[in-house]
Amino acid sequence: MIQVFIKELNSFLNSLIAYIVISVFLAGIGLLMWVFPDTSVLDYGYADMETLFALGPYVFMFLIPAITMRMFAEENRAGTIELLLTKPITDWQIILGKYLSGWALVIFAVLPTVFYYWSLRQLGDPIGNIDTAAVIGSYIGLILLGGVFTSIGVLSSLLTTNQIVSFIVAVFLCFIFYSGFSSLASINDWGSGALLFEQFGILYHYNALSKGLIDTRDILYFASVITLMLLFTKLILGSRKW
Amino acid sequence: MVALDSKKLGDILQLLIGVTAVLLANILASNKFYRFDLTEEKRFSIKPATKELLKNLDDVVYVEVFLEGELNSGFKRLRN
Repeated sequence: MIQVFIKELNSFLNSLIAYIVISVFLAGIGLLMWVFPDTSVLDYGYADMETLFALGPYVFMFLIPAITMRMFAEENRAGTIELLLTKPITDWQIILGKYLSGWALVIFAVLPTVFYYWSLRQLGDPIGNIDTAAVIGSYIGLILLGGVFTSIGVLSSLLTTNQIVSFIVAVFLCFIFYSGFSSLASINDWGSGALLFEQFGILYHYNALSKGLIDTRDILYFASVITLMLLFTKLILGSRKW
Repeated sequence: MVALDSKKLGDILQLLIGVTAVLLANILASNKFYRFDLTEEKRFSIKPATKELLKNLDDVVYVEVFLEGELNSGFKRLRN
């Protein structure tokens, strides 16, 4: 698993993908957070990082499928998947290695935004007047959300040999899981089922975490979605031997 | 028909067991959970003083919340 992880991470670092993903993420979020007047914290007047955590998921929705789309699709098309599968490693090791390398790249992209926290802390009046708990909770939420999107991306990468199809399927699934469920729950026909339906979506748990209240149920929800996606990935990867 | 000892059946069973385990874990966790309140002033936790006050109440407390009609899911969440 470690070998697959390192190999995948190296392929990101050697092929510019990592640098493009990280710089696009930082440029996009930086512009939204500090420059564009509609969403800028400087114009907003309150020292909080709501912009990053509200818009970050939408940036991830396009960036993470772009990272993961080639993982299995490219290997399937080029035939190098045969080499990988004949190595003395289990399917789980391949899947986890690829999955964790994608997630690691996402975490690398998020890490530099800690500077934003520091800047806002300095800009607060008095200095340090910022809701640190909410920021920590939101970071946990954002990283777990990145994990869910990566698992969705890995699954849809295995579904097809075409990278573009894989990208589009992953973006769609990420959107459904992120805000689709909440939006569907707002249809007025569900009655008391609306809350249950909303709880299937990421947004509900993400918002709960971003208050600074770490609930075991929310953490378990993210872990569950990741596990389910990886289980389906395992099933599809295993289906070649049927 | 799938042979009973086939790889396919095993894989599908593995998936079903995994899905069931995840669902069970979530149902169990919805009853028994723990919350870590990271806020400095413990905004989302009940103070010992409040608990003490509630224990010492000798009458039934009525809390009326007016939430009916056409509400969005945010208010439904509050209502539940």
